[in-house]
Amino acid sequence: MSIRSKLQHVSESPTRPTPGQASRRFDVAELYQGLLADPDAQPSAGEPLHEKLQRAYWWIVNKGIISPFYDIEYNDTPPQRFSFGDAKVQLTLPTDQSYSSYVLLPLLSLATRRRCLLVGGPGRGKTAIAVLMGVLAGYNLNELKRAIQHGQPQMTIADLLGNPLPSTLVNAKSMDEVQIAWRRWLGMRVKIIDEYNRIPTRTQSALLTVMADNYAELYDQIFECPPGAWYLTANDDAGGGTYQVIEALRDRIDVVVKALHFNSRYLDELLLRVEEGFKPEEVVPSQIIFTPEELDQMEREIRQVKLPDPLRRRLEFFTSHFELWEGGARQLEYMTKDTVKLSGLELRSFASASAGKDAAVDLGAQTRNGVSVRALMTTLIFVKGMAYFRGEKEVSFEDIRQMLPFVLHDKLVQEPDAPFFELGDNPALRSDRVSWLRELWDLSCKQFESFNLDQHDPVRDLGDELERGLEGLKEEEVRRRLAAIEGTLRELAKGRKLYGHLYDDLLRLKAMHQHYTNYLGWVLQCAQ
Amino acid sequence: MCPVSTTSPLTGAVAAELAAGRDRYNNLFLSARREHRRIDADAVLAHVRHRLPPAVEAVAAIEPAAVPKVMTTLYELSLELIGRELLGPQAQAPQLNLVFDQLLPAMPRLLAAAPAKLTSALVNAVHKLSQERGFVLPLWVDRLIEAAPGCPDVPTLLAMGQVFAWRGGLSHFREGALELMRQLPAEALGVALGLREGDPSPETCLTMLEGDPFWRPELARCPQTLRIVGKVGRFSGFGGEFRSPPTVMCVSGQLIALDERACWSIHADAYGARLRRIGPNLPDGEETPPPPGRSVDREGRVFWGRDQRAMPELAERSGVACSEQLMAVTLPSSHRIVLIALAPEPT
Repeated sequence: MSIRSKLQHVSESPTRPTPGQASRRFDVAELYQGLLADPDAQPSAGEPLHEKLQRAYWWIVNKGIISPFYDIEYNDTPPQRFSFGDAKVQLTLPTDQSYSSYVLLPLLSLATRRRCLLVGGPGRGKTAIAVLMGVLAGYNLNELKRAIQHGQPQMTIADLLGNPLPSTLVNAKSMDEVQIAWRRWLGMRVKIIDEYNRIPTRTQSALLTVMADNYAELYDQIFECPPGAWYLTANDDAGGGTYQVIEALRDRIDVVVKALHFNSRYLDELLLRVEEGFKPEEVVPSQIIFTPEELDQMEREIRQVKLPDPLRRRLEFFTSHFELWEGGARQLEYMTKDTVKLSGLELRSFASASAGKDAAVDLGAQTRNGVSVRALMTTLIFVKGMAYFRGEKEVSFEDIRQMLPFVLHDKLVQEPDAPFFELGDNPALRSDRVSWLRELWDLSCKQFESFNLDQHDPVRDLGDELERGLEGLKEEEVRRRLAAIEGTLRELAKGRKLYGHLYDDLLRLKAMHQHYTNYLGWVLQCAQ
Repeated sequence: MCPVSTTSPLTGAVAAELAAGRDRYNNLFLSARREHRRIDADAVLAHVRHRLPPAVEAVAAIEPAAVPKVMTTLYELSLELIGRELLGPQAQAPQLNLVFDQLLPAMPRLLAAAPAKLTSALVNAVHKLSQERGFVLPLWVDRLIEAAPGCPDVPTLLAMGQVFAWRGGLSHFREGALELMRQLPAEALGVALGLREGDPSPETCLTMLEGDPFWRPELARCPQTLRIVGKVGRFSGFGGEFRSPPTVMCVSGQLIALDERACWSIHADAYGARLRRIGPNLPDGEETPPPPGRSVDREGRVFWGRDQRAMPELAERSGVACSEQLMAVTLPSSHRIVLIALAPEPT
């Protein structure tokens, strides 16, 4: 095996064995397998795509880039922990296969065709990982390099999207006749926008259309972009830069990944790379390059991964904490942070709304907004993607716990003045958003368990009853259900504080009550 | 530090090739060091001096044009093995030197034809066979060296090696070996089976082997008796398979042994008996009842249809399981499994 082919060697392990693998039959061919790979071996055609995705991940981690970080931790048994320093900083040794977010999230973005923002100081390899993703999607290096859109203050819409052909512009009698020379990158399945926060605001708007709706428009001409993954880079976590990034554009970014610092212990590796002019993107092995069909199939397979009901319920509960802003309205339905935001007022002017609530319980006080539908949809896709990557058919608790921070990183806006951040060692969570969001999820789950909602959730039970349909329901049964809803409301009203999760339950109960009330009216009308 | 120096005392084809490709070989070492940070340059030099010349010179003698390709392959292979500390001063697998010292120099024609394929296969095989308890690796090496000159190509040689491994006692390779032998030409088949003058023809032997797992050419004229054909299994505390005395059963025709930790399949034929780990769970399938008339009673008498034999050591047997051609018996105070079959008795 040549050195080049060794660099291109894709390890058969460690991929993650999953249960249900058939017991193996012994084959004499095993005699020549083991230490060294067969130089004539071809990638197996029947290999599951999640395996290929894993192999791609491990190739990048082992051979491609220096990223010795395992911040996405999985444990199948309690891990060992070590404490350091006066502040008892903890280091955990994960007991199950764990991952580097810096490689995994871009890879999942490729598999799910989402938009990934890579943030971090200059020279941390943000563009390099984006280019690697492009190579994995089957593009050659020159094609990719030409297609990278480099944000700069003079970037025009024409620079970004294309130009009308001069001849057609002169001769056209109507806009329909103008022909556009579209930029090649628009037709690619991996789109890389370098330093997107250096693009002028006007051009950002054009970019927004492409990102949001997957088409470009110039002179009434439309270019439909193929579905694909986006990689945007920014040096500034806050999205600052030469130009403020328009909010709608930031909102279209699905995950945010930090390029972590360089670990000085790997300087020898860096030195070797310098000495040998090693460029990982030039030696990506063919076995881990995906065809467009494979990318499409993988996205379909990810959608098929199941989210178990109990976990879905926890996610619902988590989401419910954040939208309520009691002081923002008099009518229940409008008591949201969105109402305040639309009014142009500051949430702080209603600070008394959370007065008296337990800072550790009132998770909603830690944010300035709620979780949008788009953020929720992205969450669902990424938790499924995570489970798929690990070869699972169902999403696990840890999949959600690990993915949420990266999806909600820029979506759930922190309220740094919330009392919670004054407690214990919480001030650090003001800047460490990944840990903060994970902590939010953990706290939400603790509440969920303390309310015993897995076992006793009357609102869920009433909802399930309604979901079974109203057809054929007798008047007595409808009245019984209405009474049950009212009884549940009375029970909930005994609590002294209104928290976000309760708020969503109240609105749900009200909606159900309306369903039954309307149905009862119809039943009574029919009976007359 | 570069491992290839012009002051090297090497001579002949290896020296010439190293001199011609000095930069390339040095760069290969640098690249290997990226992957194996602790690779020992002196160990690489020593290996190049002492282990590569026999094979390279043998190739140079019959096909000089193939030397660069062979040399590069062996050099890269050496870097890989030394980098992984399988060879070199801290060698975890010194038996791999057999490949460089004995096997490759004995097959220069095949080495020149497909150096990468042949060397990686032989390294893997030697490594694997050296880990098999009771397997006589030097015998396998000798058989392969003997067979190499008659092999038309590398695939045929590798098929021979597989058959030799089976004949060396790896009974779990039986089915695969039979399958390979069906594809070998008669002459090669005779060599693979080690047939001598007076033995049945290769085709007859193959047919007999397929029909009876305990038949072998050299025992063709021996009478069949009910006898112990092997013993497998040991206490895990002594490096064996079982933590406690195992239980045996037959699942879908395959004999299985298990303790509280794992399941093992039992394989036995005329060339040996082996246990192979299946995993923590029993394989899918129904438990197969023993064929009629097969049992072991409390006195240790073994019944096999119309045959029976007293085996007093089995008097306190704790379990019995039977497949079509093999019986497995366990004892309450032993981790060994006694394997019994109707087989030719060597005289």
